[in-house]
Amino acid sequence: MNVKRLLPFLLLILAYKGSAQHGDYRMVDTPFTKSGYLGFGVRNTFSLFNGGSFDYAGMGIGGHFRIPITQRINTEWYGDYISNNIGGMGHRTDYHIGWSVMYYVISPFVSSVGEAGSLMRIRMFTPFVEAGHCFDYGGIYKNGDTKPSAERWSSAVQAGAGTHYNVSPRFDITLKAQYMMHLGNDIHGHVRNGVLEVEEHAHGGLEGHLLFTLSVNYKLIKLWERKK
Amino acid sequence: MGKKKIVLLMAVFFTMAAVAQTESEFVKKHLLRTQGNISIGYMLKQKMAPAYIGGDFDFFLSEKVSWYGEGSFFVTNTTEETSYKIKHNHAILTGFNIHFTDKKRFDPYIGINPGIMISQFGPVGDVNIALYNPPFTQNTRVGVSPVFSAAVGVNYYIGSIFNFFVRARYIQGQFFANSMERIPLSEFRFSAGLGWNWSFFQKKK
Repeated sequence: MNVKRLLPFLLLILAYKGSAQHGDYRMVDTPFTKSGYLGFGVRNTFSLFNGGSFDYAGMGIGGHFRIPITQRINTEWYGDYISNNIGGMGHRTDYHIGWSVMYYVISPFVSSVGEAGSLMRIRMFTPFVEAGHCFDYGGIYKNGDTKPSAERWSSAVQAGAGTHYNVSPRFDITLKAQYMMHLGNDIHGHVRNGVLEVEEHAHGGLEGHLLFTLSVNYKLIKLWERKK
Repeated sequence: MGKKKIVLLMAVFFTMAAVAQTESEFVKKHLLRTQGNISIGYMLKQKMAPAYIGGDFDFFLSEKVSWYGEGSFFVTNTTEETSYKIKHNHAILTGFNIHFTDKKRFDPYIGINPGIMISQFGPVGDVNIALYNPPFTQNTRVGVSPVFSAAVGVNYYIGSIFNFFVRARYIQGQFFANSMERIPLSEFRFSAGLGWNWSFFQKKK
């Protein structure tokens, strides 16, 4: 089963959850959602490296924590370990550590007046755009080798967009896509005429890859409380 | 199992979950549910069925959401090993489960639980090396592979201490280490048995 076959499953879950709600909003049961709550998450990152060929796709695991600064601005601090296939003849390993600032394009919260008085509700979907920085180590291995044929340290910038699906005010599932551009020595591997060629160029270069991240997140600890 | 049957089973599961949206008698915030068991897997590419011993926990952060952790230890392969032998294939997974608990005993859930696999593979024997041309002629290194994992299951609480559970899990990953070929780690796992409820983290009223 490949990634494409998993997508209908995920869509089914989201469709089910969407139909199970009354209205578009969920009630916020505590004021934690405004800012100052530390959230934790685990994630899988799917990486399309080396020109975006699906043969060269990789998958990683990682974790992050989030600290919302305001209602509309959130920060995410993450680490990922990603393993990529290179045409069935080699593989690439990347370690990422970095941070992103997320901006909610529409306010995640809406006020409404109900029987209990004025309420703050969180939207079911909270789309965002984000940008940030990353540091990484990458190595390219020919299959069968224990030492990399090429390796490099680099820094990177990334930007993208995604959405939280708020299962509850504290818990969300997040799906996002980012393009990450590395600044450093250029290393890459490709299969040509049945042979894996690993190239390393000493000059600084820009190299990018597309990352899709699926994460599950829980807001756990209150760091500070806004004064009324 | 055909695709249609899987879709049908999922439809039944979600229908059951849809009518189960009220407060539970057993599932409450800070409940700890644990279990230890034997599970059986089916590796899709290799068509092998490894067996594992393992354990997991659910710590309920609310009635809907639990923090989940699992460790499993590869014991043996229950089917014929053709192209290569599994030496190690252990897993550590963590994530969150979303529960659709009813007010009585049923606790269906789905979960996204990424993690790592710690694996090692080796050749089966000289005959198989000649026949199948495996991607290595001696044991690979032990490699750590990141994996995606999702689960669907049901707990049935038979009292304040015990529960029965059934779970199906899908794992997707790939192993490299020093193998000459990428080894897919795609696998379905099934487990069922007896679980324990620990309520000592819950506040007394």
